[in-house]
Amino acid sequence: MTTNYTIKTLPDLEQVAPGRSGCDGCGAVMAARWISKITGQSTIMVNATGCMCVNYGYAGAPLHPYIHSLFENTGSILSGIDAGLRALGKRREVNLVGLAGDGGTVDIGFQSLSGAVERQHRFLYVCYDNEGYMNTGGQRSGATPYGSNTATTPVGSEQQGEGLSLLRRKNMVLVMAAHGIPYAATASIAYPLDFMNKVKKAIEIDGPTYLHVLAPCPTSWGFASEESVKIGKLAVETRFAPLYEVEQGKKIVLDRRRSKGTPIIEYLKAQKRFSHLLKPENQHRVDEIQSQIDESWRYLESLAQE
Amino acid sequence: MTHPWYKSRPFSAWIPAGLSATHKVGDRKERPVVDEAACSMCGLCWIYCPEGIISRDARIQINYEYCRGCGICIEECPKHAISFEDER
Repeated sequence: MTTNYTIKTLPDLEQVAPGRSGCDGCGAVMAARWISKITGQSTIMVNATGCMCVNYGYAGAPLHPYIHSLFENTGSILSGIDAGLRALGKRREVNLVGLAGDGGTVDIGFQSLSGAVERQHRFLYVCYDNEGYMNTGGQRSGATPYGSNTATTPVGSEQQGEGLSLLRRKNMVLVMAAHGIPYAATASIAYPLDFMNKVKKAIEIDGPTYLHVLAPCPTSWGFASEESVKIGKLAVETRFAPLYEVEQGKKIVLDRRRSKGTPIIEYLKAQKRFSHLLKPENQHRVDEIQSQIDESWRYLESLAQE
Repeated sequence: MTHPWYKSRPFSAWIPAGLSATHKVGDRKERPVVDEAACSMCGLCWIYCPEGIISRDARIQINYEYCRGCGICIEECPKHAISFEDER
């Protein structure tokens, strides 16, 4: 059993150069920085098209080997690098990391990721979930929550934002767990030590591992840049994005302590993308969201009890 | 230095590691300033800073050449030891 990091024992090593181009208070770049802090200098990162490729990779911020892949082939490139490293006998020395947004994971890159996991290649795949295609102007993706106002699910007289229930939203961690993956977990940029300990646990496993990180996006979610961490914490506390780990596709460990069940309205009213839900005529939608969250939490609890 | 093979490939683009360090910040309104008397060196600002430009060696130091003034360090400081200072 390896010891967990504390803030004093975290490596001082910085694998991200300053001066990246991107929005102030970006949650995803915090995730990218923390991953490379743990994986160290011998990291190969494959990054799907998305926010991070534009403002992190193309800006030249990573100080470790880095490949920009297409939306759909991150998993395939990871498989190829893993097979190549094994052939060269260098697999133990290198940490292989895939980084993709929710569009590149939940929607477009899903089949190559599923294939790479099924072939049991060794890599850590991190999805930074900002709940939409935020790089191209905030279109909806398969991870966009119910009621969210995006460029393709606008608020008008008929439609009040995204219409698909939270219960039908693709739950990527449970989808990955259904592959029998050795380790899949959710994390949040609001809890850095929890995040980095999960990264550390994942890279030590000889097999595919998956981490789903909620990365608040100040630009498209509509909040001030300094509130990124606060929004991330609210998402966990309201059980909107609970923290849990799934080992071997079976054993679920749910973090009940951090998800204490704050009413969801606290999370909704902090963001401009949900501002239409605060109108009195939309009160029933807020109640719906609360009941959807309660139901998915009960489902997770029922899985965790086994 | 020998010519790397990938430079001769028409389909590849390469970017030197750390190129972004040439992009310095020009349009910041306010900058965060650390009150060293109140700082307890907990390191939270160091870990939360999205740019990774806060160092925590003997004291907390912010690299103002790259600080964008997003304010996360100010919001997350448990001792309220960091505050904005007007720059314009």
